[in-house]
Amino acid sequence: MARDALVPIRSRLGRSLAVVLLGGGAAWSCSQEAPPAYPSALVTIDTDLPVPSVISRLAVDVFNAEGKWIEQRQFTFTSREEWPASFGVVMRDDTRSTDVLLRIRAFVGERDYLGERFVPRVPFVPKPVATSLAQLCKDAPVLPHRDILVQRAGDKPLFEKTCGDSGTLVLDNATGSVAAHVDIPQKGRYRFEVVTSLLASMETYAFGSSLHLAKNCLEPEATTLACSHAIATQDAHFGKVELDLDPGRYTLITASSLGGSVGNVALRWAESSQWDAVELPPAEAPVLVERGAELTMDPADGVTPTTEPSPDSAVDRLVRLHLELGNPLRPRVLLTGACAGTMAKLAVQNNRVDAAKSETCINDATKLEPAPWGATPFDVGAGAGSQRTSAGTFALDACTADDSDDDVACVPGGAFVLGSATERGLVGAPGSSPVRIVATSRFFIDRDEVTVGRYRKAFDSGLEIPEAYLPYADDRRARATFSDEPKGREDLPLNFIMWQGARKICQHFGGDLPTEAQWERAASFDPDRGKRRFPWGDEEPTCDRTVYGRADSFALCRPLVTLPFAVTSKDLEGDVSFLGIRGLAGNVSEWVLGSPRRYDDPCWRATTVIDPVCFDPNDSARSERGGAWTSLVLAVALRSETSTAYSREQLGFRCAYAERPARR
Amino acid sequence: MKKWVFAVVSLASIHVGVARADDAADEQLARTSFKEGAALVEEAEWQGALVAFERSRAAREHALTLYNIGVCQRFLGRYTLARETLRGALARGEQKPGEMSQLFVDQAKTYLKEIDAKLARFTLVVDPPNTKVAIEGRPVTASADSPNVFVAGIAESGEGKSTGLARFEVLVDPRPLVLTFSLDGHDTIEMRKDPKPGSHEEVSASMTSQPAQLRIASNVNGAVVRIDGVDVGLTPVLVSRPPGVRIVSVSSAGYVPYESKLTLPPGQLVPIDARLEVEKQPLTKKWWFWTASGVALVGVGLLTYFIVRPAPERPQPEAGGLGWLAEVK
Repeated sequence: MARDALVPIRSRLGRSLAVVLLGGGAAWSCSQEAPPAYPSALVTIDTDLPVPSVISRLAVDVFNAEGKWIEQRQFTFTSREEWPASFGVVMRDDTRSTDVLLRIRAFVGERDYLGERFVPRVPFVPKPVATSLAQLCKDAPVLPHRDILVQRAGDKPLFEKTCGDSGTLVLDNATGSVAAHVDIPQKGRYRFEVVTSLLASMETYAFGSSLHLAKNCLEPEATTLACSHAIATQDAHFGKVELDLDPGRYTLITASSLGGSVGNVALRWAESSQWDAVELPPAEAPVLVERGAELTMDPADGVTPTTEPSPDSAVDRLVRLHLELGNPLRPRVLLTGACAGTMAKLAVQNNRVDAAKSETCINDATKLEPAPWGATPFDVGAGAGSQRTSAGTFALDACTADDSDDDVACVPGGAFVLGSATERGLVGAPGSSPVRIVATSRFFIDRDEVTVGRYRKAFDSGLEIPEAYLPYADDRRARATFSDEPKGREDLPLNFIMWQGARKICQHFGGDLPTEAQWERAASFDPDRGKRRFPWGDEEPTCDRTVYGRADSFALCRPLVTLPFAVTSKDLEGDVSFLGIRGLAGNVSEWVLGSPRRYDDPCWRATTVIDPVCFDPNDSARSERGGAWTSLVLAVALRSETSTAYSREQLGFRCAYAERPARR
Repeated sequence: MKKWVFAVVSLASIHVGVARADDAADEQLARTSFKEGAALVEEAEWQGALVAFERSRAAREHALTLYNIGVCQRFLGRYTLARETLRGALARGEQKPGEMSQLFVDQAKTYLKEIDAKLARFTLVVDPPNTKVAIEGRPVTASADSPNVFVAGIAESGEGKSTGLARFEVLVDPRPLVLTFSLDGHDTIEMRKDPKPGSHEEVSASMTSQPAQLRIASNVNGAVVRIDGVDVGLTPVLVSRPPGVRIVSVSSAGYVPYESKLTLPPGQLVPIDARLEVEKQPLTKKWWFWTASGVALVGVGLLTYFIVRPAPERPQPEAGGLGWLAEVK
């Protein structure tokens, strides 16, 4: 009995011991609390711009609480499925919280670093071109030592003689001038140059200007101290003079013996010994500078990154994060197309960024706002919040099959990259690079260039055009398609029409000339790939596909032998865009609504992202798009220009409409 | 204006009169075409007339046919070509005295004199000297007059040719012209000029090297490509870089990185097909090693766990889909 009674007692002791051990262990274990999470965030980035046709890269810069730049990372994206993208930020310190500033840029492609800094958006005010020597001299600015000044020259000569290769004034000056005063501080040797000059007219691309250094601006011939014409650099003649001077005020004036030209001319001067001295960006500029493995923001270190996103083709966003111990953030940031081209404004002082004073575009390019705080839950930017990407939704406005008819095509609204970083056109043409991110609203465009017959019908039914802008008929220009009486050319595109006349005709039809962005969108639209190189795709043009390279002087294709040298839309069945628009690549090139300025010109930077137009009425030339029967290169991104004083045999037009026009 | 009409119409009768040949078909074609050309000349349809005279010439060469062709070319503004053709007509007239009367010899010389006064001259300065030059899509032709004088507009349409000279003169028609300077691996330069009759202008063209293009592919798609240490995308990728020495690296997890130092020639496409070899697995990467180690570790781990219960871990920060965790200090 006693033995039997002992067993349960031992068993109970064992169980109690086990319970005590396990309980103690558990209590010990539970008493070990997990340490709090480090101050951190998981940042999710999305965009509403198309990926990868517009946005293919992402750059993230991290600044710490003191505003010190810590690191930049860049990422490449090849498909929409890779968005939204996310990354982490952490401070491995469990004794304090901290603030972080992120600069997040989604962009098209990088380019050489140009020390870019924030430039406020300013309305574009066209500068008048001087029409008299007195006006030129009165308005001439003072050009500071080693600065570069770009001014626009008109097409009317303001004085008579300029120099040839010999430096003596033997050539007739045939074009407009730009001028700048220079104040020479001390006796010494000085150098003066035309840095760049692109003058364009109907038939001549005149790459260059001669340069006069005159004592009296109002007497550029009589008081010329030195004049230079033929300094061959690459493809241009840029005036360059170097001489010993006494202190005093002098004037630089340009000229050219090639007539009828208009364009931009850039001037620079410096003391000869300082011409090539390296100039660092000013200290207040937000410059990233690399010194060995350590990256600082000190421009005095003298080494800068080789490439940076171009501000014109990037969405540039600032976000502040307050990282707290034990409370990881999960902010989500939408980089919207509405902010494309608007650079963030970093407030930099003593090589540190003051996040509180820094500003960024959030969803309205016309205003900068203080860099917002990202928190949990927090969505920075309109439309954010979904776990699915918004890529490709910016300005999206689709067309239905019923929107188009035999005469006009509906072009869907959406964002795309205007221009091309790789296409090379005629040297000196307005250029398709650097590129811009733009969008067009939904619009309509003629499937064919405006024909002689369509113009005649409009003219007979009341179209009014000032006489000076009427198209030439074949009795005045042998290759004109128009004739006073129909001569079987009614289906040919109307040529020998000046820009003003072409625009009047489009306005009569209820539309206007397409803008550069509309023209490029219509010509390159591809729903799958975003953008095509040629209207029909990426394959190089052939003689069978389109009408190009057919001037009798070029051997590329069989020359056209029947005047006038243009064809009807029936002969352009291969030259068709995705939307069924014909003759965009070849046949005749087309007037568009816009000035032939680079896409990073102030005129472009003042435009809106959606439906941008750079149009300077003071320009004596207008942009021209698409190739002609004479052209050798046809990519849709290429641009050229023609003076408004001219009409040409290989230049026609088509019209665009905001609303669908009545059926013809 | 009337003078040329007279000359060409007269030629038609002379030509028909003298051209009695055995080869009747050719002769017939030559005569018909000649008549057709003469009729078109009367209507000042110079282009059509030129085509007809060329057809006549192809069937049967004759000094007066050459003369007529030269006159048509002159009225079409193709002065350099007209000059060449009229010189050819005079040369043939001298060889075959019966073919061209003194009237037309004198007229041809008058035209030549007039043409010489109208031709414009370019002094072309090209760098490098082997730059190919074409004017209006035709190479320039050496002139018999001087070794450094060339003539534009005579040669058949085609690619430009190098004269081998850094500085030379070219005779051109006084009309809007496109000058094309090209050289392999360099940007082609096109210039538009509108030389006036009798003018002389110096034109310089200095060629710039084109960037090279690199097409980088690898047997492992999606490998990261870096050029000179800069991330340029994922394979396959096409990038442009200035000519010169570049270091290309291609890497992908689990493969031995590929690296190559190469000299990029200007304007050329350099294809690189990086073969990424699978990284050889050391002992520590053999599956059985870790299986065995795992089993042992689990055993030791379990034992240790029961001896020393692990302290709870701090939550790890997330690196997101981009796999990047920025460390702030």
